[in-house]
Amino acid sequence: MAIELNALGKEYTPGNWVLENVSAHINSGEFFAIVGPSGCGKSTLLRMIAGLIPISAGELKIDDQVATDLPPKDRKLTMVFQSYALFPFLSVTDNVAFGLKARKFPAAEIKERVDRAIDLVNLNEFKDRKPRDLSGGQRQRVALARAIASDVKICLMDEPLSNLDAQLRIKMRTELRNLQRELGLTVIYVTHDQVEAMTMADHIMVLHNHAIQQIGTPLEIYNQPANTFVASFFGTPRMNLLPARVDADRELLLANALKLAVPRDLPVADYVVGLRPNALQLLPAGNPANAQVRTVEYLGSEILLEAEMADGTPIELMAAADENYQVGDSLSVGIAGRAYVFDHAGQAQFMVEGGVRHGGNDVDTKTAVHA
Amino acid sequence: MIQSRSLKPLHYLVLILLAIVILGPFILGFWTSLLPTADIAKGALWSSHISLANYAEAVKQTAILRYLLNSFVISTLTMAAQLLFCSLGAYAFVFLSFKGRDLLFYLILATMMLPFEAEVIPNFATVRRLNLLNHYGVMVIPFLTSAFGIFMLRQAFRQIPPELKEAADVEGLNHWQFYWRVTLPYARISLFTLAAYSFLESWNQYLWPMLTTFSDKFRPVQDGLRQLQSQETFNNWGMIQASAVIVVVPTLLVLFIGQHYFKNGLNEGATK
Repeated sequence: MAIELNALGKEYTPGNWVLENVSAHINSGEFFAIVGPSGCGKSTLLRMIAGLIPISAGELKIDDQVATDLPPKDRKLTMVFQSYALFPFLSVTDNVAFGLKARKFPAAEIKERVDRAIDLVNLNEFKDRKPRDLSGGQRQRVALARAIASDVKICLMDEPLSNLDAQLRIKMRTELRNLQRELGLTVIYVTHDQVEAMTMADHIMVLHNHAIQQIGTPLEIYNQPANTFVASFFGTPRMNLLPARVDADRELLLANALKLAVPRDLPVADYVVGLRPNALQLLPAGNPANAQVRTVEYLGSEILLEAEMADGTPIELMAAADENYQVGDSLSVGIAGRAYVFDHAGQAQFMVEGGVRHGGNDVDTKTAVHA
Repeated sequence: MIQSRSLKPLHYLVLILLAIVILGPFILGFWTSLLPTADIAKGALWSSHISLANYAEAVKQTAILRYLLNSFVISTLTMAAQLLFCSLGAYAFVFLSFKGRDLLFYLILATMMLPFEAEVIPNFATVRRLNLLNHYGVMVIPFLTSAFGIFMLRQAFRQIPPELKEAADVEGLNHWQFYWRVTLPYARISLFTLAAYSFLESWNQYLWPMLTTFSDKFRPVQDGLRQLQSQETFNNWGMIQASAVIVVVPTLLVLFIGQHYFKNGLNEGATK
């Protein structure tokens, strides 16, 4: 049950595109996450695939069949909603059986499928309860059971875990993922939570500004972000984005303070350099200070420092938990990891591996180019 | 908390006063229905002849049972029709989108502003032309639907989360199936309320049946009661009181049953 999105677009009023030119191929049995900030159109895209919202442009293929204008029920898919969409007046069993009854399955088969689905999500004890007598996590499982009780192999999920508390969410992530593998479901999963997408998905589509920013595996998205939006959206704490300009041959000056050797000549222009907090290093006292601590957050194993460079650029970096920092302390920050170079429009240019320290022209810089 | 405790006796005082004002006449009416007419005429509130004789007499001498049957038929038909048509109308106003939908809805709402008395004359002319006078139809057909019912159910249907409609769409339910299997059960509390309301409203009709029915065969209870009073030269007050009590009992039943469901409904609560 592969799904093919071919330049899908949606306009509610003419010329006003909510989504434009969305293309992707989703393999059978794949866990495909659509991620983006609220209002980026990810739920709209999911509803277009489900057939709940008409598609304005492009073509949708499900299992090699054109499904662009098919009614939802003929698209052979199920959907799990953020609010679970359980029928409050039906018991757990009846909720799970709802779709099968609507599709006029034989009673014996309905019973068998419902029992199996309820068993899979461990709700056997709660079969006869009404949704209001269940906890949030249990309701979530009922919604899941309803989706897997049917024989269709495509399941669309619209932020199904976002109403759960943090602990339960982490537990359900694993359960959901295992269930998906076990049943061989093709899942399209919409979330605004990049961690969820990173931990669960085979492939991630990043949506922003009405268009796809990048599609890739979680590793690709994290390690090779296509632009500054993707770079700063993935990873906690967020990647630092520092303004940069060409300072000398094969050298960029970041935030007027840090020098970064680059492997090739760059046209003179403005650049943005991305550095994850763990790619920044605190240099021992004695080095000239180039930043000042603004806030100190204890994370337990580490400390997250929010600082400000001399030119006012905010940065975040990690420090060992046993060190003592106060707001206002002066820091000496150096580069000690991978740096991502983006052009002034935010498009990725290449990356620089290794560390280029504070000032000077060190020679221990190994560089790698990724175009 | 302290403040509310000190206010409690005051609350009860107000409630007791209201209860006396509301229940007083009813209890008085019920009590007099047990007294012989001779004693009532004397203005006595006590008698040595407390009995159900007035009830027996009412059933034997008047058409009260026929009135009850008439009212029961009329009210039940009206209630059933209003449940069906109001819910269908409300469904259309919530789940279908068509041109002029909101305008049409406001038009229907506007008819609520018009008192029924203002429509009596044109309605009477219409039913006379239709040859419906002195027939059950004349008391049912003009009340098959109500603007209030549509309004009330529309509000109830709007409470249904849009995800339920989407889930039903994914499962392939058409509008009739969604109406029957999701909308009605979801809003059943409002349906019960509307049922009780329309039944009572129909039961308590007075002006319209008075104008349109001329025989005991079709006359409903409220007009029947009036009939008892004017038929006799000497009013048999004990019997009239007994009839009034008989007429009131079904309305009380409806209210009690309705209240029971309504209370359950409050606990029902939608799940998030």
